[in-house]
Amino acid sequence: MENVIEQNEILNIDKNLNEDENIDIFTIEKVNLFYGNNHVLKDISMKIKDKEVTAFIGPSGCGKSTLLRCLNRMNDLIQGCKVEGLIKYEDQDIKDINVLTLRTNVGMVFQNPNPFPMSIYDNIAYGPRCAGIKKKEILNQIVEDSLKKAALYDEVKDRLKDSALGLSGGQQQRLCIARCIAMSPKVILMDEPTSALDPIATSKIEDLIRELKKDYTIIIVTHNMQQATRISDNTAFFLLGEVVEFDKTERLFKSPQDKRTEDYITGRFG
Amino acid sequence: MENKNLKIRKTKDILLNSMTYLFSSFGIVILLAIIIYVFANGLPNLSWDLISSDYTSYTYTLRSETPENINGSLVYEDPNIEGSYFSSKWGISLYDGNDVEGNAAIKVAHIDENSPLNNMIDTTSEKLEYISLTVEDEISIIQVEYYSLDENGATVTNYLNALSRRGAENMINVLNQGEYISSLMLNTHGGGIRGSLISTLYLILFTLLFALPLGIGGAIYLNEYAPKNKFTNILRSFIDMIGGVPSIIFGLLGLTIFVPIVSSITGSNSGTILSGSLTMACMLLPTIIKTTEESLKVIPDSYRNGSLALGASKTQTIFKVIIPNALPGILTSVLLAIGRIIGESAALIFAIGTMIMDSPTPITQGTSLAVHIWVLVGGENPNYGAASAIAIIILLVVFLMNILVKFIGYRFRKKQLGRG
Repeated sequence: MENVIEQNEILNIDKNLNEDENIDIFTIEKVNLFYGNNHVLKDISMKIKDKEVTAFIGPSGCGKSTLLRCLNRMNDLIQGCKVEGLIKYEDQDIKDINVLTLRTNVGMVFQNPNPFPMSIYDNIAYGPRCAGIKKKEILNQIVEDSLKKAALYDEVKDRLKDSALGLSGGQQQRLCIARCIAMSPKVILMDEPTSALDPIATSKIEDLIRELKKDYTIIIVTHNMQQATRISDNTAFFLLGEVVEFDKTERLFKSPQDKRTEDYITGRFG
Repeated sequence: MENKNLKIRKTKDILLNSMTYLFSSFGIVILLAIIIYVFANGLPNLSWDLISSDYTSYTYTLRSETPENINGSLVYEDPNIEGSYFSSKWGISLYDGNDVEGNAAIKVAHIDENSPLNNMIDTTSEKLEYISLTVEDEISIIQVEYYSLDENGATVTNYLNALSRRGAENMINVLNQGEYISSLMLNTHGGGIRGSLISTLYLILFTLLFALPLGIGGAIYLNEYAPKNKFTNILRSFIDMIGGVPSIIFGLLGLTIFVPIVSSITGSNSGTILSGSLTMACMLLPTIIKTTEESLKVIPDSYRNGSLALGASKTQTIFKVIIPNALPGILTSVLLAIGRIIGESAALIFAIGTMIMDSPTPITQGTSLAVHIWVLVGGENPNYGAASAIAIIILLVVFLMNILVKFIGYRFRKKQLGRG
């Protein structure tokens, strides 16, 4: 009996070693998306690995943010938006998962820092409170942990009761990341999280992403190709609603298989 | 050529500018005229008495029990109160005053402790209690019945009516002629607006009770839940149209629908403050919905998305993020509504009635301040002074509401952005 278990474990380890990859947390199969008559995403299929950073790059309007918003079903909120195809989160169709559970597991950070107009503490405690956590000690612990993980704790620990709108843009964005972490999600979606920030704040967020990657799967939409090379493990290049190429970041930037990818990353268009 | 163009432009600018100034100053002149008229007429009548006293006036008849004993045998000391006239025979000092509505009335300035007038029986109440005539501003003397002696020593009964018109000096002279006073008719002034103030407060309370949940709920539905389609567009334009319906038509609605409904429940046989509140609630709904919806609209979608992306439900998002942020707007709508209730007359004349009550309850009649003005000016003897005094109160309240709206908005923004 024990032998069997041991064997299994060895097999599992072997499997992991062989693939040298984590399991797929998102499986996207033939996804088409329409805004009214506008065909925005065309037959997209890809697999997103757990505990890795996946970057979506591409020119404006190519559908990368739209796909990101599909993953936590934020597109449901847009009137006239229709999604076809299959998106699986941990082997379960996201349409079958309770949308609130899905969004708890798949957090999102937006392009512009959007802290709520309340205190720093309340911002972070907002999600857990909505999820039904009422005990003050637990909330305090969550707030502290989240702020520490988001590398913001030291900067704001003395003014947790102050308005979050008094923070700088970079701090606000890290607060939004902390707010997201407070829900202990598995995946964090980031929609151009640094595009509204200055270079210093941007590098802080990038450091943070590298740190967070140990515990979370991160999918990041970015306009900045250098950023993608700096922080991501995998990169998908989008063009006009299609995924042109999806590969390891290193490979995609060094030896792109598609002419269009090469043109884009060498700066010939976009 | 260029110079000429420049000149034409300059003249046009001056013309347009001066027109702007002219029209805006026109508005200011009208506003000033209203304020000056109201204050000039109303300020002399504005007093705590007006606010705190009853509208209805009561008449008391006092009868002296021991008139013969006095008979001028005692002489009282003159307290020498300025502007008043003293009768040393009766120990009373009177002066010419005004009642709360501004009508002339004789008032008691001083009365001696031992004066016979200080110990009379109130015949109007069944108990026939002894009542003392005191320095009471609310009471004026309207009639005196006294006896005097003619040349032969026989007693002659004299009545003196409408004393207020003849003044205090005349009255003291009359009293001094009399050998004894048999009865005295007194009048509480009345004309106060306490009842109408209470009615207005009830109206505000009940109208908001009905209108706020409906209005805010409607606004939340329209802005947060309703899909954007033809139906909701039509709904919106209907709400706008309701806002444009003249208030007198709402009055008719109240008279034909709410008055019977409330009457059948409470058993009253007239309009009540409750039926008026229901009518006002219908009337204010569009305002509340519109103002609230505007304040919901300006809340950025990023808050909604941020909240939803954290796994909060839509209801949680609305109640924890959207409404707290829309609070200044919602408060503004509440204050605007209160302003409308205080100033409303036409609808309430139908939906409640014009009976001024001194101690109204939600299920009796009662008048808002504006209806009170309507009653005062619409009667046989229009009393512009008292009406203007009430107008001052209304203006002050509305003014205060406006300041409050601004203050709340200011405080809220400061709190949101505050760092300390």
